[in-house]
Amino acid sequence: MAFYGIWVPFNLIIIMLSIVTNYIIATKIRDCIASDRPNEKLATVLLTFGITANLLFLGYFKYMNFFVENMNEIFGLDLGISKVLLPLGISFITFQKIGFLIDVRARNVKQFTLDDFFVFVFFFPQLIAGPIVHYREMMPQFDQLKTRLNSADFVVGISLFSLGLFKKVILADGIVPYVSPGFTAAANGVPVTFFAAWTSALAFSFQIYFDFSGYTDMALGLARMFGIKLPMNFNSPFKASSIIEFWSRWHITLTRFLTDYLYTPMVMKLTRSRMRSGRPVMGRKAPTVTAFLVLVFWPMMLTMLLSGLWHGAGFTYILWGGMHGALLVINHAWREWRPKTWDRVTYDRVMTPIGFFITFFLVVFTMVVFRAGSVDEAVGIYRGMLGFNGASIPVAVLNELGVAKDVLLLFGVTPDISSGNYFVFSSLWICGLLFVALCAPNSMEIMRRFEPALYFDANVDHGHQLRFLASRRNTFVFMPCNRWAFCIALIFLIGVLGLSGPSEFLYWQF
Amino acid sequence: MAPTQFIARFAFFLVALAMLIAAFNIVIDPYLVFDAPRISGLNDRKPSAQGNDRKMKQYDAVRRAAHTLVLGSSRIEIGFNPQSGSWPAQDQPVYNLGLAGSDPKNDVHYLRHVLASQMPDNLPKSLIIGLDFESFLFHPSPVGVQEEDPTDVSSVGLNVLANGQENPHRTLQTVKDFVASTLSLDAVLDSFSTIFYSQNRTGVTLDEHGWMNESVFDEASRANGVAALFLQKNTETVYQYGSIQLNLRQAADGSLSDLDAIYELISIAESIDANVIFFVQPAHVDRWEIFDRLGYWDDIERWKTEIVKLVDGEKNRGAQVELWDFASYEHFVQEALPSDSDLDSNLSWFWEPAHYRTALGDIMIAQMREVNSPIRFGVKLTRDNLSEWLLKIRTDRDKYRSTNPEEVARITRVLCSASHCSP
Repeated sequence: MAFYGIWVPFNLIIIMLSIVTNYIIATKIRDCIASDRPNEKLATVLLTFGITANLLFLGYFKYMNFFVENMNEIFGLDLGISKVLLPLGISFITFQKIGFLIDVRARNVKQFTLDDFFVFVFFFPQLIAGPIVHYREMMPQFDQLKTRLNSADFVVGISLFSLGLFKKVILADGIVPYVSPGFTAAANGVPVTFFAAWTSALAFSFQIYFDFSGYTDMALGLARMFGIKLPMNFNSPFKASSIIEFWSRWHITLTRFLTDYLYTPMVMKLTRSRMRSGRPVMGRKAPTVTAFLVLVFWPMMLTMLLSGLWHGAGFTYILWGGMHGALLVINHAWREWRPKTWDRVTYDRVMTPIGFFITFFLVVFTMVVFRAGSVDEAVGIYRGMLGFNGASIPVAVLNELGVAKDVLLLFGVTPDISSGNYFVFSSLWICGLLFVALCAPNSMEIMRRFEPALYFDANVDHGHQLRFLASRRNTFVFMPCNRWAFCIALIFLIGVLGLSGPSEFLYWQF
Repeated sequence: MAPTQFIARFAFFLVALAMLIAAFNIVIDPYLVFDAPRISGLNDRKPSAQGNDRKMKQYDAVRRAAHTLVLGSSRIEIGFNPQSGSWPAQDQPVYNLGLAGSDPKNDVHYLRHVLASQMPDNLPKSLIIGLDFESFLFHPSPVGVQEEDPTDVSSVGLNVLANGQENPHRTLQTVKDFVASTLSLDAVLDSFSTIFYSQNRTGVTLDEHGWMNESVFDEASRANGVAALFLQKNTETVYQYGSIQLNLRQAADGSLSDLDAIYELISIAESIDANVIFFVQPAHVDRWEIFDRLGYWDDIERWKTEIVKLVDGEKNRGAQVELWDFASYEHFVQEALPSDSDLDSNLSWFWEPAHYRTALGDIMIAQMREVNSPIRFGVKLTRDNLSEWLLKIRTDRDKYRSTNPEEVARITRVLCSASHCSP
C-alpha cells in the first residue's frame, strides 16, 4: 500500500474504496451461493452489478476525457475536460477485481477475508502492470509461506530481476532514440521515407518488446524474492509463427483473462443458442461461413476491440485491437479452410518459416498504430513503410557502399542529408535486438531448472530459431555457481548503472 | 552451491565490479569532473565534450586562471582557438568558455560561476563575447515570453543561480555529478570512447583551454561533402526561422527589451576591471540570404543599431567596451561551394553556413586585438560609422546577387523545398 500510495496518496484512497466495495459484493455473492438453498439469480445480479461498477470505475478514470473530447468534436459541445489523474495500474487492478468476482460466483474461490483481498490486490511486484493474476493461484502461495525471505527463492528472484532490469534499461531504453524521429515527422506532416519509416516501426516494436519483457521478468523476480511465483506472462512472442501463437506468448495473462471471461463465455452462449435452434456450430468438420462469422468472427472482433480499448483511451488503440482481431479471424479461417493436402510434418516444415515472417511483419505493422498519437500519424508511417514516399539513404552511408550504391540508385533509392551515424547505429540496434529476440534463450529458459513462473513447462521446446544456439542451450541455463554469480552481478550492475538516464515503463500507462 | 553462498558471491562480485568501474571512470575522467591528469594515448582526448560541454566546462573553467575569457555559442567554442598565434602575448592564457546554444544570459550565468571561484589576482582582464542575432529572436506566442526560472535545474550545478545569488543546490548537484561520473553506464561507455579516441588521435575533443576542435565538422564534411552540410544547415534554418516569424522582443518605448544581459556583462567586467569586446558573429552569405528572404533583414539592422547605441552609451559612461561587426558580405563569407559529389574539397573559412573555421576565427582575433595584420575583415562599429557600414553591407549584398545568380538560385531551391518560395 505504501508502494502504491507514495506517488499520489489520493489514488490510494480511491483504490481502497474500490477494494472495500468489491469485497462487500464478493461476500454477498458468496453468501447467496453458500447457503443450502442458493440464490443463483441474486448472485448473478450482484456479479453483474460488480462488473458494471468496476467497468464504470475504470471508465471514469480512463475513458471519460476521451468520451468528452469526442462528444465535443462530434456535437460541437464545450464540455469540460477533467484533470483527474489516472490511478497507477488501474486497468490491471480492475481486471483482477472483476476476475475475483467471477471466480467467487463460479465457486472457484470460496474462502477469503478482507486482509487476504488487500494482499491480493496490493501485492506490489505485479500491482502496476501485471501479470494479471487469479486469486486462486495467489492466495494458496501466501498461505504456504513460512518465512518472508527464503534464500533459494531469493537467488531465483534476484537473477530474474537482474535479467529484467538489463532488458529494460539497456535494450528497451537503448533503442528509444530511434523511435521518435519518424513518428514526430509523420505527426508534423513531413513525408517519412521507406527506411526511416521502417526504422521507427521496428525500433518501437523492439522497445515495447523488451520493455514489457523486462518489466515482466522484474515483476516475477521481485515476487519470487518473497517466495511467490507469478504466472508466465511473456514467452518470446517474436518467435511465433502465427498470430494465434503470438497471443499465446505476448501478455499471456491478458489473453487468458480475455479468453476465460469474455471470449469463451460469449462463444459458449452463442454455440448453445445455435444448438438449441438446430443451426450448425463449430466442430470437427470445416464450419459453415455463417457459423464461423457468428462463433469466431464476432466474438473475436469484440474481444480484441475491447482489448485495444483496455490498452488506452484512443482510436489508435481501438484500431490496433481491430487489426489484431481481424488477423486472428483470418488465422482461424486459414486453420479451418486451408488445403489439407500436406501431412502435418511437411506442412510445419514449409509453413512455419513462412508463418514466422508473415507474423513478424504484421506485428511490427500493427505496432505503428499502437505507438502513433493519431490515426493520421500512423498513416504517415504506413505510407513510408509501403514506399509511397520513396526511399533514401544518408549520402554519407551511400558513399561508403561501393557497388551497392549503384544498385540502390538503380532501384530508385536517393541520397539524403540526414545523419549517417543515426542510420548506421539504428540499423545495428535493430539487427542486434532482432538477434536477441529470435535467437537468444528467454528468461524462463535460462531459469528453467528453478520453476521461474507458474505454468512454465521446462520440458516444452519454446523454439530456438538457430540450431547452433539450441545445441548450446545448457550453456545458458542458470545454475548457482561462481560463473553465474558473476554474470548476474554484472548484468544487475549494468542495469543499475544504466538507470542514470530517464526511463519509463511503457506498460505503466495502461 | 548453496543459495546463501551464491548470494554472498553475488554481493562480492557486485561490490568489486562497482569499485572497479568507479576507479576506471575516475582515472579516465571523460567529463573532466575529477581533473585527472591527461595521459597521452589514454585519456588526453575528451570525445564526450559533444553534448556534455556545459557540465565539463562547469568544472574545468574554474580550475583555469585565464587572462582572457572568450564567451558565446558553439561558433566560438569551435572557431576560437585559445592557443592560436593570433592572440597577443599579453592576452594569454586564454580560456574558451563558448558553449553550444549559449546566449548572453547564459554567458552571464557561466561568467558569474567562474568568477565566484577565482582568487582576486586570477580574475580575467579581457572578455571577448560573440553575439548571435538568432539568440535574440523569440517565438511570438506567450510561451516565448515566459520569465526564466532563476532556479532552473539545468544549471543547478553552477556556483550561482541565474539571478546571481549563491546556489543552495550546488553541493547536492556536485555529489550527483560525482556519482553520475563514476557509477553510470554513460560514464563507462564514455570512458571507453575516451580511450579509443585518445589512442587513435581522432575525433572531437575539448582541450585544456576549453576549445572544442573541429573534428565534428571535419569528419562530417569528409563523409557527406561540404555541399551536403550546407544544404542540411540551410534547410534546417528555413524550417527553424521560416515556419513562424520570430520576433525581437520590444519594450513599451520601442527599444529592444532583451539587452539586459549585455548590460550585465559590461557591469560584471567593470566590477573586475576587465575590458569587454562584443562582436557580431560572421556567417556564410547563404545564411544572410536566407534570413533576408525570410524577412529578417530589417530586424538584423535594427538589432545591430540597438547594440551600437548600448555600447556607445556605456563607453561614454566610462566602461572599457567596444563592438565589432563581422556579419557582412565581405569576400570571406562569399566562398562558392564545391559540387555535390565533391567530398574532398573544403571551404577556407566555413564548415557550414553558421560555423566558421578557426582560420577565420584567427583573422577575427587579429582584428579585434589589433594585431598588426594586412588582412581586413569586419569593422569596429560605432554610432559614427553605423549607417555607412549598414549601407555597405546592403550594397555588397546587391552586388553579390547580381554577380552570383546560380548561388541565388540554389538558395531559392532550398527555400522552395521547405515551402518558402519567396516572390
